[in-house]
Amino acid sequence: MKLTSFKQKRAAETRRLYLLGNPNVGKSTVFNAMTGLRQHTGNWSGKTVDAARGKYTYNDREYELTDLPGTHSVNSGFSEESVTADSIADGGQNAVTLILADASALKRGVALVLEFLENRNGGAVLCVNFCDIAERRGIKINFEKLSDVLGIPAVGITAKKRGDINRLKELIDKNYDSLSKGTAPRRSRSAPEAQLKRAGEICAECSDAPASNTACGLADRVLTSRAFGIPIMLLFFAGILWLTIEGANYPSELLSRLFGYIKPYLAACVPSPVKGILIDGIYGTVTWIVAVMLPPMAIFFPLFTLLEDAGFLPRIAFNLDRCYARCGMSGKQCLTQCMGLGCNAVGVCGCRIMPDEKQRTIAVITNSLIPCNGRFAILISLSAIFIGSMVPDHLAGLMPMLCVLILICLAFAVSWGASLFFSKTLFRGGEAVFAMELPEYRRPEILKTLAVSLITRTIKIVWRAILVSAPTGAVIWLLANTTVGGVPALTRLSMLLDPAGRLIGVDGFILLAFILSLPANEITMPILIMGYTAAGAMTDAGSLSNLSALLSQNGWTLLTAVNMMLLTLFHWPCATTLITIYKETKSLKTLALSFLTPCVIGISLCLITKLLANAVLLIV
Amino acid sequence: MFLSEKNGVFPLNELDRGSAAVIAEIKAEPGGGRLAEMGFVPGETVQNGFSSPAGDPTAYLLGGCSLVALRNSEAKNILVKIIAEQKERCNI
Repeated sequence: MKLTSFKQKRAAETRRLYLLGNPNVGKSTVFNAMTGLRQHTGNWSGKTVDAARGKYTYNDREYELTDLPGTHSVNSGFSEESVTADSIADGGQNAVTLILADASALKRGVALVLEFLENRNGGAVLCVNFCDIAERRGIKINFEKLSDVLGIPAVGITAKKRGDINRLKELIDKNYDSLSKGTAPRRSRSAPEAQLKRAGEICAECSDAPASNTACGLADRVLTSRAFGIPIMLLFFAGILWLTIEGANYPSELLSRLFGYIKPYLAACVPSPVKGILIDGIYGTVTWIVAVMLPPMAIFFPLFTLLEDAGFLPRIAFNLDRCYARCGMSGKQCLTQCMGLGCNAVGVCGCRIMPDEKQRTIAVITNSLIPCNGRFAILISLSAIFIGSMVPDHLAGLMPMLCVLILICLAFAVSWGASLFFSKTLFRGGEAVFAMELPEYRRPEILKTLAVSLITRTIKIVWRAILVSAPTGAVIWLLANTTVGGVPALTRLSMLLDPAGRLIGVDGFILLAFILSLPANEITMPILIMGYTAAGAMTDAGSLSNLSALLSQNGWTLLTAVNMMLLTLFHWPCATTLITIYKETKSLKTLALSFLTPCVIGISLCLITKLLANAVLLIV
Repeated sequence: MFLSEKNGVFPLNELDRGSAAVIAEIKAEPGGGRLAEMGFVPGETVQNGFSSPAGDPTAYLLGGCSLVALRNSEAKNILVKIIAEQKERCNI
């Protein structure tokens, strides 16, 4: 009892802080540094679409920090529903707002402070981030003077430094009581023009900066130039793919050998009645996922995160904007697609950055046309195993990379086509705009990025895949080993689907694998392998090198492999994504369209390749 | 280059690459104040930075400190005037 009341007292005393700032001033980084949470940061504005919340304790007092989406205007920053509700509850008082600014763009931050002081109750602390970069550029800021002129505490930090974060916490702690009392808005509202002018004056008074500017660098002129812009982007992407495929090869083989080596020892420990389901069902599926999915993901996503942190993704959106404009969309859709490349459910959430409802709906529907990492790994392993084994050795590294690159380009092209179709038919109207801030290039903290990306993205996603795959593995094993009329149930099911599969150039097992992998795309391949092995072709497909043989034995041709990859790109979103789509849009129509669009596209493409293959066979 | 110049005021999308101007006026836009939210307010200096490979959108250096990309269809709603003497630059 005593403890509860103590806790309640503590909760009542929790001091509330809001984190406000212009886009891309490192709010998420400061938020993470203060709370110890791992909110994913990205070097583009609009990355934080939700108001995130976290707690920390300083000097025995508990603080709750709310991270508001980046904004150039106080009123739009506070317009988020969740935040307004809070502010109303306590009359906008008893909270302190931490206004974050970029030292290299101090004027903007000061303008935001001036706007805040005119409009809001409660006090504010100005925190100027990226002081290290500003210092290197020769910008000197007098924080004492700044604090005097603005009438609020001001501090300069570098969010990466722990000591600086502590300094910030100390400043907040010292001034919280006097600040949170809640003062009436200071002055009447003035025009933004006057505010900006005043901000400029204050900056000139309190800081000293050299007269050159660095924001328009050589890098941008090359990366967005007519001649090099798009080729460089493709080269970058091809390079990442090549590193992924080449780099994943060896650890994959090693892992699958290791798991194969452990298997008999493990089997010896398990009582024989449950040996099949535990070892062949669950162990087989889970180890396949770890061996085949983990290495490419552990290489691709950290590399991609580095590009993201460096500020490269907004430039991709910038370069490709013309394509999106033609489809009636904003180039920001490109950012949601890049998020979709990690996980479509995340991409669907990210569609909130789209400027209007129509574009948001289209972006949600077309997001799953971009392969998420689960499907991405299928593409990589299939092209490495099947396409790689069909070409001469010296091309074995290059061909799979080209193959995956072409497939990704196809996925983007198809998503543009689908967006165009929807914006011309079902969702008309509205003018598409593209107003986006291009953040400065920042040197990413390579080691930290790699570690965080590995932990937060890769391990989490693989873990989710394992959680889903273990029970599914058991069910599939049961299906594969329960005979109905002398034939395994799995084989029976696939025989039912076989005519439909043959029609689009694949087989019943492949269709069945796609249907059964609705919970998570990662388990498509294990289901397929178990289906084939249940049919009696082979007893052990654990090792990667055996897979190619297994697939060939089951009548796989180049057409089967191509159509399998096409279906991997375009079938239907996984269950998690479907649930997210419904949660985000609350519209059954959008949900149905999200399910059917990739489905129709995939089947049509497979029919086309089947017809083409038949035509080629006839001619030859 | 043809400028639809009137009292020295012309739309931002006609600003030459590399040259700077001051925002004179924001015409009514469909988004409703969205440009102002991005930092396009009268009195701010704006410089044409670079264009995408297709020539549209263009990235503008706003107030010398942030880089904002706009499509020509959006930029034409922003009226600017050339700065009288030297290129004024703000680094802060």
